[in-house]
Amino acid sequence: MKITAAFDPITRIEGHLKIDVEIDHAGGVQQVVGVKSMGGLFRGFEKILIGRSPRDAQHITQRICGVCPIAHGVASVRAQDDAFSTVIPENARIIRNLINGANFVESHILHFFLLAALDFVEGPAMPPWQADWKADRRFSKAVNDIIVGHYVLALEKRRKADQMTALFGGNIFGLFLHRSRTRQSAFLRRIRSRRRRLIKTSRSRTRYGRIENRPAARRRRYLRARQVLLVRGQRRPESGVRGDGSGRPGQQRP
Amino acid sequence: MRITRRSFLKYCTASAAALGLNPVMLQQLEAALASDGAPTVIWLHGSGCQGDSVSFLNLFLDAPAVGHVDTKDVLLNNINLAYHTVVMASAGDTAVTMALQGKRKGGYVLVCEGGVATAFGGKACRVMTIGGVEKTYQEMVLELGANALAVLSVGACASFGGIPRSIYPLPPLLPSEPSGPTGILSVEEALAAGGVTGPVIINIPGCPAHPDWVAWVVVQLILVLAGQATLPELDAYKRPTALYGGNVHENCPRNPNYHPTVKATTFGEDGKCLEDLGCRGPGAYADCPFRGWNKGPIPQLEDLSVDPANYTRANWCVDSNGLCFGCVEHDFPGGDFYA
Repeated sequence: MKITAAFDPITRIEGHLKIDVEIDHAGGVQQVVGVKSMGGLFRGFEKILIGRSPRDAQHITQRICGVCPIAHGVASVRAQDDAFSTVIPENARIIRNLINGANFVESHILHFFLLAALDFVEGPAMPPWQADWKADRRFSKAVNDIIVGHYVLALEKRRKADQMTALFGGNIFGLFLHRSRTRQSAFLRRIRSRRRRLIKTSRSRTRYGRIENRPAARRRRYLRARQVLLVRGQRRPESGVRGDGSGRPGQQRP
Repeated sequence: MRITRRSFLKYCTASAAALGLNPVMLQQLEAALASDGAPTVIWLHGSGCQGDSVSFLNLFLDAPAVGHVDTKDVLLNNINLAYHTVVMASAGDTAVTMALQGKRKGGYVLVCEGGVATAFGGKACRVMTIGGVEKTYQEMVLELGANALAVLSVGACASFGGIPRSIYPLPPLLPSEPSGPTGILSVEEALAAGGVTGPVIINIPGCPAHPDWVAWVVVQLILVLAGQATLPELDAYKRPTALYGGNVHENCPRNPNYHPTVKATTFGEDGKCLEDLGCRGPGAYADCPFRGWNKGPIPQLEDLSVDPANYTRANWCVDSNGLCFGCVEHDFPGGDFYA
């Protein structure tokens, strides 16, 4: 007989997870024949970042995970280094490594003791530290008690690792990483001018889907706004801003 | 390891200043804890990163006079944490049963962490399976919120939508819409949309929320539930004014007596006002400049003789030459962080 069961929620992880298990007889032996795992949360960070300044990415992406924010921040900062073609100074490298290392320590303590350990040891005898199952407990009482003691100690030690992160980075999410200012400004000027152009022409279409699909009121508002911007855009050459004769007709905005 | 109510009270005494308690309130708290009433707490995680839970784990004071008091002790001996997916040992049906038992008994406090996703029928965030039926966070907030004594929205996402919503301000003529694709509502909006008006809603924004802020509200709620105090005063955004009353810029050590020091023109200049670089301190209301973050006996990390009254903060955003992002405000994250 086929049995299906859902484990939902899987606890002591960062995030939302569900496991579907199918158990059936295959070859005369009862065994697991199918397992599906499902993440239960979608936030769309890629979408959230579209249209923002690239420097915001290091702060936004840190919010992907509350247990390991710095890893996401550092990954994003490295991507920006590539985009800005920056060679970072030695001190920047050191402080990044210190911040990342502090969070590395914090995250590992948190994962090993607070998240994973309760699968192998008996927690304190009160909810929510007690599981209702006692499968596969292999430690003796003495060893178990030592590990539970470490569990309490881990709370304190991971907090000190957090303090270390804060000393270098403000607070966990306020990570600030140095970068060459001049290269960055040039890059940002390019980004900003491109963004202004997008707003004038097609931003609403690229960002919010096709105009035809949007509610009528919003569409009217959009068209009105677009017309105002277009009229402004067309008036400029006629009203003599570039009226020194240097501008050729072909260069004018359509 | 297990500590008594007496120890919890000692913890509150030791950190009375940090928790904003005066001697009268401490007496009331003693009475409240003596009578009975560990309130049941159901802590739900929605569209967020669970950073508020991780931040809350930092609520730990190793003062020798009190003995070890940590989050676990505070939670276990004084409130009954029935459901919290990051720390609870059980999983699956067992965990769900604990939440439902809490609901049946009634008289519980619902703590919501993370915004409420409404896109795709709410399935952008689903939290548990009850009897083979998947339940979304939206459904569970309405179901559990309807009978709750109070709903605490912890963190920027639960309070105002935060990063998953990300309303990016556009030029005035174009409509500002959330960049987040999952139709995030704050817990307050989701409850109103679902027609739930009963419970008291308190927002504790911040990205993440400061552990002291959460502890302060919990202590206040214990007092309120015991009839020893009235609800803390809330501002227009349902934040306790005691915590979110002061302006960050006005209290900033870089802006003494409203006479700003030289404004910084680039990062890495110590002691200069960062307003021109994009600091949102002038529009942010919180007590970060006083309270600081990641409190601890710095720099004497191992010196246990340090008086708790002298505990210093490890740091805060502006002191590390970083910007205040205004993470306690309703429009966080808003436009570009850097000017």
